[in-house]
Amino acid sequence: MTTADDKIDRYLRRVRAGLRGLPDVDVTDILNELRAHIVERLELVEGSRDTAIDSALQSFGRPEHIAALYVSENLVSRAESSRTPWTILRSLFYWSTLSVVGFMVFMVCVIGYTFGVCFFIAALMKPFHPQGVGLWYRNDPTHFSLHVGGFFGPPGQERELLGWWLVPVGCSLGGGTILLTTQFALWSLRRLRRSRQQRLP
Amino acid sequence: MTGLPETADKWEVQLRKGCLELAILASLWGGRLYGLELLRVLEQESDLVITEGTVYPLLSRLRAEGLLDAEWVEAELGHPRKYYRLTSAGRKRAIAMARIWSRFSAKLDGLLKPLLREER
Repeated sequence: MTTADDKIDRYLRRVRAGLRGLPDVDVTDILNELRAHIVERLELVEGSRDTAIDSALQSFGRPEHIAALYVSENLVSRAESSRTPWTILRSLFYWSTLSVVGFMVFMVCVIGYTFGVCFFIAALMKPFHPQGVGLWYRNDPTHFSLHVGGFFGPPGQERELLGWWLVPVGCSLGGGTILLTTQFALWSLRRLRRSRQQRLP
Repeated sequence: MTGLPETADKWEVQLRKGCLELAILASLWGGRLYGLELLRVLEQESDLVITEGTVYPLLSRLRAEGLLDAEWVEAELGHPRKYYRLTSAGRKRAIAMARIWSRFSAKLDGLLKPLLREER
């Protein structure tokens, strides 16, 4: 193996390290394409491959930057093409392992989707447990409380607020919360992509 | 040192990055190209000189968005190459972006005429 081949291998190992989390088949395809480019570029240079390899790799860019750009493009395109909470959360989870901001966005979206699902569950369960699912409040001079009930029935002295309106309100709030969370997640992922693009030379 | 040249420099870099997607789609308008060919076209036809490796993640995204197709082709001599071509969605996007760019730059040119006259 020549010095040039050895340097290409080392370079591509660094790219591969930055691509963790992407499907193996994509990683292999990416590395094959980058190798083909670098090898062809070397063929265009007159003189020894071993002396030309350093400038070829330098003009190709830092391997960590290229890998980071691939990862952010992949996260955004996967999330945008499916738009399902599960795929979005998977992309965000991967981002959360890379940065604090990613972790915070991931947590906000987990909470958002959890709330959305809970609103839906409450709306769907209301017809089956009309006495056990609802929004109640207690208002006496010493104590005010407002809470959503579970399946064990409301506490005796509390009054239900929404009644059967819980079904449309729960569905609207659930859908709205999930939609807003999805928009927030996609906006955050696009910002991640933009910031990585701007950092590149 | 006012810092103005540096700001202008950064602005130009961002402007070029912003045009990259349109330039790639336009470069592929005439037919399929592989990465290195595409970079040469960008450099010669649009004066866009970018770090070589950064074009591939962008091509990967455009492909994921359904704007490009890619296929590996065995070369007669040497190694296989991955060729990219526009899909019909890619052609539509390229036309839409070209229209926006053309309208925008024509209006901006009008605004800039007095500045350029002054310079002369």
